[in-house]
Amino acid sequence: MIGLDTVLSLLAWPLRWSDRRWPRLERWLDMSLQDGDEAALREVCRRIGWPLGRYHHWYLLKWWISRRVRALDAPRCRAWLERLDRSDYAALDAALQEPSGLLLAIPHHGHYILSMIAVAERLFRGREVLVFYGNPQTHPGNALFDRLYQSLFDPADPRMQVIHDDRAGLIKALRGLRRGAVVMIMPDVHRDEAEAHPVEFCGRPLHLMLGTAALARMAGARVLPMVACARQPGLRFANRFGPVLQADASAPASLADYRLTCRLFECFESLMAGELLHWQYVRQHQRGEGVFPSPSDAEIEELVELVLSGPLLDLQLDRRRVLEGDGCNAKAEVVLDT
Amino acid sequence: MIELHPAALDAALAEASPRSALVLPTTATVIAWLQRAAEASARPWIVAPRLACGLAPEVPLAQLAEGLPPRTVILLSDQLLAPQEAPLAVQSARGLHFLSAFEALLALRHEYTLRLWPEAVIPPGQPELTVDTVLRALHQHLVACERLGPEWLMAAAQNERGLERRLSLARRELRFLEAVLFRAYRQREADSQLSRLLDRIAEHERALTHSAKGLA
Repeated sequence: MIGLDTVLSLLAWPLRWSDRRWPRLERWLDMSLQDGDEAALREVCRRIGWPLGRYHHWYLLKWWISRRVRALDAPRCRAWLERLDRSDYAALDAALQEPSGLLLAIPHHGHYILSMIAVAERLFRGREVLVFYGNPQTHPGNALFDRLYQSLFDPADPRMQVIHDDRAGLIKALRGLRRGAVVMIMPDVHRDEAEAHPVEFCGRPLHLMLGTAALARMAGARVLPMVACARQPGLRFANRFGPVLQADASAPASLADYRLTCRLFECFESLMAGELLHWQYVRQHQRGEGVFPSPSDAEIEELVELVLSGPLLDLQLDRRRVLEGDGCNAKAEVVLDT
Repeated sequence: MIELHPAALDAALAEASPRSALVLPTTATVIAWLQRAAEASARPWIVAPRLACGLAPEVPLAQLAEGLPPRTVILLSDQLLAPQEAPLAVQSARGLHFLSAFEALLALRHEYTLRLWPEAVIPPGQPELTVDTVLRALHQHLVACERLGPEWLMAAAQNERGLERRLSLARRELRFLEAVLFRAYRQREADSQLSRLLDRIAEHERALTHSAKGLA
């Protein structure tokens, strides 16, 4: 029998062949395309061979999901998710054979919320599950996950808990991993760019926190990459898994974290291959800076010294001038070069 | 006193010598007038890096350094915000922020007369003229710009001068430097060069945090 989701998806199917903008639809779906977004999306479309309309079709499905989730009670929602999930969980089941903690790293790709709930539902009776994500008070997009969590799980059940990206959440995640829990985490977003390291992803730098790798290293846990992929028509999805990753114990901590993060995002890139338009941050990423310097060994020291003494990093605060109050700072001195 | 309407701006430009700079706020009226000013017979240098018709401050400085004849500068100082454009740390009652050195270079090195909206005039060649004199006038110009209210199009961007924003940019740059190092060592064993450079970066960050304490 063809379900409602499939009917809607098929009704909107012609959008997928369209290669133009749909301003009214964009406004209705609150897509908020900024300057440069269209060019960024078109460049991604060109690379993967999709028309621009597939992005609009995708947003329409996202809107439909949020409507459906609101309308379903817990038993119907469980049945609905079970129907939609077309994943092969062999890789996940194999990773769970070991009792040590497991970080299930999931980018904001595809129907990731449905995927995460489906995986949590599958795991929590046999293994403690902690879902680590941004507090909906500061990340409004996460409210949908909260709604599903509260509808499907008992918040008092210690086997399935949500934790937020704050200090308390980090401590809970670390302790949980040491107990052998599965921690679901979304590493493709950062709260503060000043704390994020650029990692190469799809040919350009992506600023990332190294927290997932640091958690794995500190807890002696493994990382399993998982990407939620759409299976259309309808809202069906299949979770794809990469190989289990582990921190390099022989390297200094920060280098080990960076290496693991690079490997994780290489896995994501390969698992998302051809469907990058379904990644939530595709526009910002494609719009962002595209250069990643690779200095030779001989140039590295010079580069570090050059950057440290440049105006971005040498703020000359000890030579600041006082403009009011006591008047000018007589000791201040500035060398004015062209 | 410079009035911010086209006729008064035309008059101010006509009166200006080739060795003078008009410092104006970024408003819709000024931007519209700049299109016309760009075609004036004096061919002024319009320094406004955030406008398509504007130059970066390095352009007139390089031309003056090459010995080319001076030209009147129309300068939107409220657009000189980036660390390389506004490198001078100043402390005022409004906290610590960063101002540009371009105006001081024009006045002290190239002997330009500075006319800063609304009414400040800094003539060149006076023995008491210092970098601080120019910075104080520039600071007062920016305070006057605030009184324009919503007319001042660069109001929101002024937080780029603040210490908090500069520290955030500095930390971002430090993470970038670390990433360049990590990338160089992705396939190699860590060695003493890596430890030394990472320590150097960490030490710089500590010193930055320490020197910024209590200044914002």
